[in-house]
Amino acid sequence: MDFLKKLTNKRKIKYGAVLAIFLVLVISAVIIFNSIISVLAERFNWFFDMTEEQLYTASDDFVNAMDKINQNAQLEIVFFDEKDSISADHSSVGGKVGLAYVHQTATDLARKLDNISVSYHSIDDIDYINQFRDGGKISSERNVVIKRTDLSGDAPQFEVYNPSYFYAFDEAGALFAYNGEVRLLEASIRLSTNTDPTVYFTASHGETWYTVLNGAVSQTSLGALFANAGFIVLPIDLDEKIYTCKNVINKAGDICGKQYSPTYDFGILEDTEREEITINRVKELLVKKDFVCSCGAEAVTITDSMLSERERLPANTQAIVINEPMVDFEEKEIELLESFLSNYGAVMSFLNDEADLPELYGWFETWGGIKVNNGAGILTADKSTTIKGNIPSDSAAAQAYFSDLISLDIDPKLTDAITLTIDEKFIEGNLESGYNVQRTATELLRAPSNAYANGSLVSSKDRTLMAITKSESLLANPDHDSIGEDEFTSYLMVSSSGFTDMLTDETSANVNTKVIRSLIHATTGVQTYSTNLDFKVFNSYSLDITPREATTFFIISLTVLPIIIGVTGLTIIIRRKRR
Amino acid sequence: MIAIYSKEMKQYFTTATGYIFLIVSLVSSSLVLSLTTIMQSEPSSDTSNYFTIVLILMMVLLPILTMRSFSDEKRTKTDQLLFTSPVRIFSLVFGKFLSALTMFIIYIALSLFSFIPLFAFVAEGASGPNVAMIIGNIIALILVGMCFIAIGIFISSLTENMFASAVITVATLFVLLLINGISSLSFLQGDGFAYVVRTVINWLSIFSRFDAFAFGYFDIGALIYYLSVSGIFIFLTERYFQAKRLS
Repeated sequence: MDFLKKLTNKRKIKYGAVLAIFLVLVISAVIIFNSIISVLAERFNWFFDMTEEQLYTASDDFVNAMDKINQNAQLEIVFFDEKDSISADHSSVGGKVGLAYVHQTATDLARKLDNISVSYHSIDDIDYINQFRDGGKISSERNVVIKRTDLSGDAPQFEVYNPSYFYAFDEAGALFAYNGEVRLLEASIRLSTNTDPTVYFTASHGETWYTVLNGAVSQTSLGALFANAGFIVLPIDLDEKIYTCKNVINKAGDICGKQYSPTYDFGILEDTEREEITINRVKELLVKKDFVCSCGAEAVTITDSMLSERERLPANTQAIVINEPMVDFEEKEIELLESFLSNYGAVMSFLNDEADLPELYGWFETWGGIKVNNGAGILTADKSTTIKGNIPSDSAAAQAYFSDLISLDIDPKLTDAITLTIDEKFIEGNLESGYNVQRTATELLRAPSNAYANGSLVSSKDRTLMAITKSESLLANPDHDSIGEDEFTSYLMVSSSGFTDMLTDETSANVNTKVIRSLIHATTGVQTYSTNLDFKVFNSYSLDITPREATTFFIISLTVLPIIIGVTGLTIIIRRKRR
Repeated sequence: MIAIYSKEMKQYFTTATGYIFLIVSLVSSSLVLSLTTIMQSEPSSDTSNYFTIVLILMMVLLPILTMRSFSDEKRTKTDQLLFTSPVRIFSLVFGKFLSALTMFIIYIALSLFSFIPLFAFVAEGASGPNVAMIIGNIIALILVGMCFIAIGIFISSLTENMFASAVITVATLFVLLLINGISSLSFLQGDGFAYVVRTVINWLSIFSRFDAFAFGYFDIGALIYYLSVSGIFIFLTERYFQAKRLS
């Protein structure tokens, strides 16, 4: 210290050219020190996340789940802009959302897991961009690619996303939550599985299949939930007349007088017996292959005789969703559903309390005796039209369906309740095929005991809001006590469509999503993600203040303190001057 | 140093400077807070815009505090007295810096009065203002204020005219703001050399680091940076007077 004091007190150091050098050295040292701190801060994540939702921090659950899924793979999260631009991209104007949170989640994850990396490429690097041509078009520097390379040597799998994929929006299209962790995990799961389970949404009964928002057509929130869980989501008209591939090929052969190969000539699956396609698809194939021109034939007219009724659901069907039908199902449609469930799979019904669907309701009764009571008018004790339901804690069967559901911060909610009554007794029967069938109905969601309907407390038997029947088809062998090979389990779930209405509600979207995801896992075996992950709901800053109150406070804050300070100041200054 | 600090504080409250700074700052920040929150068509307690605008306001208001710190001493020739007194130059500079910073902190504390309606009128179901983010922004504002004060004091040490000192300080801070804007110019977009230039500009910019605080990201690197910038200008002021005292 003495040496330093002596050194700095020397005249040469204190002024002149040596001082200038000294200054440069000190400033350089400060800059170098800052540079080192900046690098270390970035490398070791030296920052405080001041957001209540921990938007900048990858949660432990998320990191653990990503670690588990990507054990034997390298995951690369690719951005197409410079790092500084992305990390400053907080834009959230007019529905446009930024990439800053996504970038921070990705970089935090990459810091914590060695096999996950973040990279930056120019949108102008055509050679690099071309490798993602098949995974979706990269049209903007705001796209994000998630690329997974399996260490077994398989070709890398990838998906291309827009920033909005990582956020949650309500029905009006307003942004309400950051959902980056769930979305990254979902993408990772999709890329890690080679099979694409398919869910069909029934159509032609007035069901909600697409929603139209600001003129743009998009999936319903329920459809999006399945899609994000890794399902291929398609509509299906059970009553539609169809061609089988075999019929198409035969028809082509009849007209042209020559044989066609389904794989090479039509680009469709070789398994022609099972593949089923719609009229529009047939027309499309014929036109695409220049069928009419090359054969010199007249335009092909599709007649009823060329078509046949659907005998079974497409072979790749994992689940059927009946979402808010307004028109009843035909008997043969019910037969198709029954036939589908006689093997495996799940049917999920979300019913509107205004629709009267005797045929469909009758079918539900054959499945564990689920009776639908429309227009129950249940209200919770506070007379709110949003009904809180809870998963019965006294039912081991119900708990089993939600076994992967670790925590629910709030109760699931729904609007426009239907109520259900169920017969929990076993329904046993013998099938002609030599199987015994056992069906067990379980209450999944229950209105609270303080729920009112039409002015009086709802009776306990009318408090079921969601129910499921598990059907086990066992070989007719009395020694069987568990499902073995060639034996099947299938599920029929019934709920109010008011439950899916709440998938875009700020307070219940997260918990309702968790419930459906858990059911998807329980009924189809498709593991979507750890249901412990939450949406990171943005702070809601709404104020309940009238213009009059606002003006009053505006005037107070603008005048009170400044006047007090001004008067005090004037008094002190005048007194001083007088003295 | 304590003697200098006390003298400066006393001077702020026995002349009009301190009161003018507090009144103008409080009126303008209350106006900004009300217009960006409770007076909106859809009243909101989101304060991120408020802090960004207050930062710009401080570019104009903080020079009021610093303009007379040394230029006034020079004009009245009391600087000779100070330099010959048994006070270390560093104590002199740091005492003035601390007193200006105290005034700034007093203003910040008083401005919190305007936040009352944001907490009192939270709508049902809304989460209300993010307290952690407000605290983070206030800390960031104080850090940036420290830089502005250090720069202001340094410029004040170079001139005898306190108004010239204020104008030059405001101009300097605006140039610093413009430097930040340069990085968003089209010819500096893209990678390669442009990226390097942009990175250097952003690294040097006092303002670019503040954005992160506004969005709830408290960067330790930025904290060190602001302390360093303040330290450099205090050091430059001290060296300047040290050289002058000995010349």
